Amino acid sequence: MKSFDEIVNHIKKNIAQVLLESLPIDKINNDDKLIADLGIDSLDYAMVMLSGEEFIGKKVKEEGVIWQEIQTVQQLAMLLYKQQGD
Amino acid sequence: MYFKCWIGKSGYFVQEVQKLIQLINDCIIPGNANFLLSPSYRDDFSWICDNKYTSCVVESPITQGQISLYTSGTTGQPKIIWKNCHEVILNKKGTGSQNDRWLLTFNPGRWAGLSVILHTIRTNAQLVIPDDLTFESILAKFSDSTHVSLTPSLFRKLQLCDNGMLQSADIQQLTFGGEYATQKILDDARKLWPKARVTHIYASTELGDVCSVSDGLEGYPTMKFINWAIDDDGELFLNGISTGDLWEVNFDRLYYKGRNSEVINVGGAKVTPTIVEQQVNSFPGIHECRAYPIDNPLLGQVVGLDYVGPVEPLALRKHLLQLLPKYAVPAKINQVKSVQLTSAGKLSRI
Repeated sequence: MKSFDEIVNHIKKNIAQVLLESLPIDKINNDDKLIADLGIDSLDYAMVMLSGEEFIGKKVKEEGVIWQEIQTVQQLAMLLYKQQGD
Repeated sequence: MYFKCWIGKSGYFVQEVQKLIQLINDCIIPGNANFLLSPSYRDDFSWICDNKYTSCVVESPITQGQISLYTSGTTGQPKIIWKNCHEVILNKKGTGSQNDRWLLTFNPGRWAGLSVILHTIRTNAQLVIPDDLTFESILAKFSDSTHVSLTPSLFRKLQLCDNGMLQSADIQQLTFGGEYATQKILDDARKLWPKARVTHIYASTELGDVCSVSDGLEGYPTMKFINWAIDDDGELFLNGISTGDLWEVNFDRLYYKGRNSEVINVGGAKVTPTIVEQQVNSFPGIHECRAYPIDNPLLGQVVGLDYVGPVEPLALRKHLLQLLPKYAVPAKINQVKSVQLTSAGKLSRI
């Protein structure tokens, strides 16, 4: 199982890649909203999600997930962290 | 190469392709029997117990001399199509001689493979038969061959091999089929074998050989198609029959855009894998690639990509962002040692 911090770092690394390294990783904060603050779109979000699934070795189960509550880096990391244990 | 077919109601298991040719000459062409070809060339007879296949033979058309084939393709359940063997041979275009040595790279239980076999029967040419349809077995027979019919995907795999060995092969005719041959494929083929005549064919199990072109350009002149139409979704209809293929007309030429059923739905935006692959293959250093759908909880599907070549994924992504709409740019890009093909030698869409 990946630790929460490992997942957070993986997500930040992916966001930087999605933005073609125009934003340094150390400028991405845990409470930044992926779309509203960091400027990624739904396609980029899907890409970050996909990479996260691969990182934890599991596909995200949608049941019970309220996507409107998965806005920030931390919230996405928590979703992936919890899904590991399911 | 093992092969099997079922003749009439009694069943007859053929084990060698040469035996199949003898059967075609002795039984099928004269109209003494029908037979059902299996798409599997391995030694597995479990399919013959399925009543669906048996009844299909029993319910075959009254006239004999029919061959039934399974459609190939990358998605969907295979369908059984009946063909009159005698008519197929009569309608086959192209010349040949007994000095031609055609390499069999396709499954003889599918239209592409059977087409090569029937052509060699018609022209009294020789058939070069690999031990099986693995890449290594096909490659081993290249130096014995002068004529080759293959998919563009198989050709890309060949390009990764020792070019010295391939260049020394006396290839006089190269025919691309089974998949769309892009301009790059055609140009690369001419570079590898400058003396070869390079042809590409549009065909399907249902329609047979529709047309072939040897002018060195991708696409097909519209004049080669008879009774054709393209509907609002871009699907080609021939004689009123849906081909399931998406095409685009540019001046007097038709260009293939992908299969209707292969379309990847990215949040409502449609992406045909072929278009993505064409752009990826145009990047220097890319040898072959395969685009496919990946289920995604947010968008339904996103595009995945496997590619072969010494290229960094990020560089490839930047390249594709300049050429494709963002929804078509693969969300997952994997550098792999080889891409997955189906048993028909086509890119797998699964």
